[in-house]
Amino acid sequence: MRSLALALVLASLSTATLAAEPPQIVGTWTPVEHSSARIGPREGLPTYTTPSLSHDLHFAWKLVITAQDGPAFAGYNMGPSGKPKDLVGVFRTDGVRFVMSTDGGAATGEVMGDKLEFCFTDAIPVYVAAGCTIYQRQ
Amino acid sequence: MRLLALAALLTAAATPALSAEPFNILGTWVPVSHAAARIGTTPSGAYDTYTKPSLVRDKGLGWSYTFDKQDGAAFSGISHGPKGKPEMTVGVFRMDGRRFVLSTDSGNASGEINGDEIEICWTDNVPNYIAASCTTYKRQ
Repeated sequence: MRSLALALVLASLSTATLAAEPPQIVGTWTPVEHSSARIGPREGLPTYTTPSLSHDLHFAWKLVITAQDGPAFAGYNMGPSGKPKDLVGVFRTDGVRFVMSTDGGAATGEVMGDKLEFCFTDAIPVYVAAGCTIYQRQ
Repeated sequence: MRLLALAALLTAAATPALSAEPFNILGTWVPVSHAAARIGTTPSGAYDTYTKPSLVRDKGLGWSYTFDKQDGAAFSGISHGPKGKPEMTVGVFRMDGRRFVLSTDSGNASGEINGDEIEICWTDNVPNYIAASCTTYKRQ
């Protein structure tokens, strides 16, 4: 009996990593903490000729996830310009961390209980920015 | 004697972390699971054009990789999509020798080794196309 139990334990250890079920993140998420750094011109923002470092929530974008199929999700976010921008994302196998893409840049994030954090880097000509925002479901 | 041992311990603790030997990634890697979200027209022609977000879970839609060069932490190779043009891919392992970054002309990715599998997660940002995907691979 002990041998059987041991064999089952060993078999489970040698099984390939199974994907964890990602959390449902469909809904509206509002920023509760934010830090960012930017330089250059960006629609809806003043033009910064020297690096601007901020912890002001007004710089954080609203996040709305409208669709999710397992690890894949889509939605939009809205910044100071007020125009919604499409986003798409996918959870990693651990079901906690994710990657996300918009037409302005890319982000990595993770879900922590009822909170979600993502950190973006923008890749727009003559504008560079990086920021991390913590969101809570509305 | 105790002081000598303590000094040796403190010296060891103050030594910067050395890079771990990177995983040997050479060979051909094929998808065993794949999830993706995309909108727009992919420049490589690998996928159809989507005017609304497309969310998929289908290993047949993942790219495969053949890494034919590796020099320590740095490596390169070719990636093939379900259709369309292959792409040159370059990457480098982090100091832990397990996690890595990858780049092509359309986007960038981060990956990590999980046992005998690798997971690669991409974000693509090119005009009229955005995508994100995570794919798990096994060596062919």
